[in-house]
Amino acid sequence: MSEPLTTAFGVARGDHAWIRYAGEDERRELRAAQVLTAAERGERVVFVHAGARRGRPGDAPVEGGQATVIAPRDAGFAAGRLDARRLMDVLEQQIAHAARLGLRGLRLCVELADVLQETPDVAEHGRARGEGNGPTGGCPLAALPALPRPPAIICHGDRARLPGPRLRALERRHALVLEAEPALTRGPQLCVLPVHGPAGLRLVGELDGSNIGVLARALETAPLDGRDLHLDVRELRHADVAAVRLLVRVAAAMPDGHRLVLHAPGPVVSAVLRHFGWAGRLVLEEGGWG
Amino acid sequence: MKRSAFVHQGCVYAGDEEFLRMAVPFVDEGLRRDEPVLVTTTPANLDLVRAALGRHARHVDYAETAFFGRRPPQRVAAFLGWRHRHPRAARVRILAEPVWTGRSARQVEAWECMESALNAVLADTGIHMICPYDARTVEPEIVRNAHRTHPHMVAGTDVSDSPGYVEPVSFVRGRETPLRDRPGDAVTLTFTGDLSRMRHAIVMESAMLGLAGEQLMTFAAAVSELLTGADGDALPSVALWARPGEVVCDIHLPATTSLDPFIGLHPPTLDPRPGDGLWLARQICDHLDVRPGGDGTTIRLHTPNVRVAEAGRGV
Repeated sequence: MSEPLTTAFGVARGDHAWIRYAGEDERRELRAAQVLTAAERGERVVFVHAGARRGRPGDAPVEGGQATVIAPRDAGFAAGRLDARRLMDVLEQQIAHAARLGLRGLRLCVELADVLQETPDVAEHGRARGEGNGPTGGCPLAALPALPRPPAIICHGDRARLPGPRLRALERRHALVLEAEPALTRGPQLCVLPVHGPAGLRLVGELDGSNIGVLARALETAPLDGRDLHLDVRELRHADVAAVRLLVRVAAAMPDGHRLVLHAPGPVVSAVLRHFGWAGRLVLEEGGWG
Repeated sequence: MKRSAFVHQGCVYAGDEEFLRMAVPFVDEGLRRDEPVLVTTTPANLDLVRAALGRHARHVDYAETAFFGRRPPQRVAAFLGWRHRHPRAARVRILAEPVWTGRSARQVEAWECMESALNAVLADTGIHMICPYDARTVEPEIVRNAHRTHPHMVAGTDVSDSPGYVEPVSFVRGRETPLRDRPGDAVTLTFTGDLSRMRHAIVMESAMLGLAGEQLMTFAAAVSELLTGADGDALPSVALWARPGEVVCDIHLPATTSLDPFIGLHPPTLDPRPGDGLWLARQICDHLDVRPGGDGTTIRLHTPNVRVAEAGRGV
């Protein structure tokens, strides 16, 4: 189930979106959404915004892991203008660094108001000078030379902090405009869907104490494929120990010769099964469904 | 002695012959009694034991000790895993020589605490374990502590009570040094009851501080597991910061009674227990401290960052 482009999670490599948010809480959630998406897709997030910690003198630089923060001037934004060559160098370095960490691409998340200078036209008339040559032409990030693996570009702006004209001017530079509140909605925390070929259930989302009852009820009436209970968990992003234990208990209660088959478990489910010594109690299928 | 009793003996030796005078009779007696036997020691000692056992050597399981549980919680899991492979044996024997050379002071402390904790954690497992200490290479202080963590000492086939033995809770509590203060740039997150949102925040901050991929997601899951069940008026908090080579995380649980110092070392079962989160955290982290305090308990986790993991992969 691929994420729709109407959410922060659906912005993929080659896409360029503007997401406006309101206040610090939404900003933190947006950033968390980008890191979660990057972790799921095997990408690295490069945040560019003012206030990035540059470390104390003498400290080793904090290079980050799945995500890192770069101060605007280090990313090529100086005096409100973009040095595209400098930014390209940074992106190429980041792509190489990501590859060393086993990550295959970048999500570039820029706090646009922090890096672009407010022009007199914007301040006075709410229009950015030089815009109007196509809907995305105004965002300097849209004009970057092509990279072999283009990053996903997400420009952010705080509508609680920016004056209306300034916000609208930044927004008009983008073809894809999203509002944080719906863009952060990923649907229900847990979806349990019937699937066929083989018959079974698909679990999508996150499983924890708040919804383990939903899983328990679904397992009671889950269709069997012959003597096996198949669960497709490739889109189950999180499961706590209690949820994994429930699966193992269901497997243990099945009659001899019956099996619980778990398809494509993610890192968290796999780690719990391995570290709790339960991996042998059910059948793990790494490959595809059917 | 109960048939299922855990027997834990130390042995300080200073030469190959002295080592074999203890090891060979221990293994031989196990084989004579049809008890499964595991020898996990240094490569040199493995060769000595194999050669000395001759044709009986093939009836014994061997493991190079450096790889039989690289950290104390994994060592406990490895002992239990091997024990569970012999469910029909009432008693089993393990000769387990820890690795001490090249360890930091913090690691030595953790391994000594584990030696003591085994007396509680492996109770009623039917394991007879002898832990050899090579006085030629092991620091005298570590050898002295072997007398405090093993109720009995062995020399050859002679067993004597260890007069310095200290009960495990006292030993571990006595070794608890105060945690170093958090740095000023630690990021603090307060849990407000939405576990999913808290987990996402932990993922984001940990990703910034140096974790990635499976390790990032599993670490966040372990921290979130420690917060599971937290409710009431006093809310737990999480603080995260980077140190050279690692990410450090404090989980402050403003609860109630102080935790059992061995919580999370007992083997997990299919029945839920309070130590599940600590079991997972102990398995995936490099080091873990549990410190009771006046206003609750602080659990401090240390996990290597991606640069260390990268070096470990030999990239």
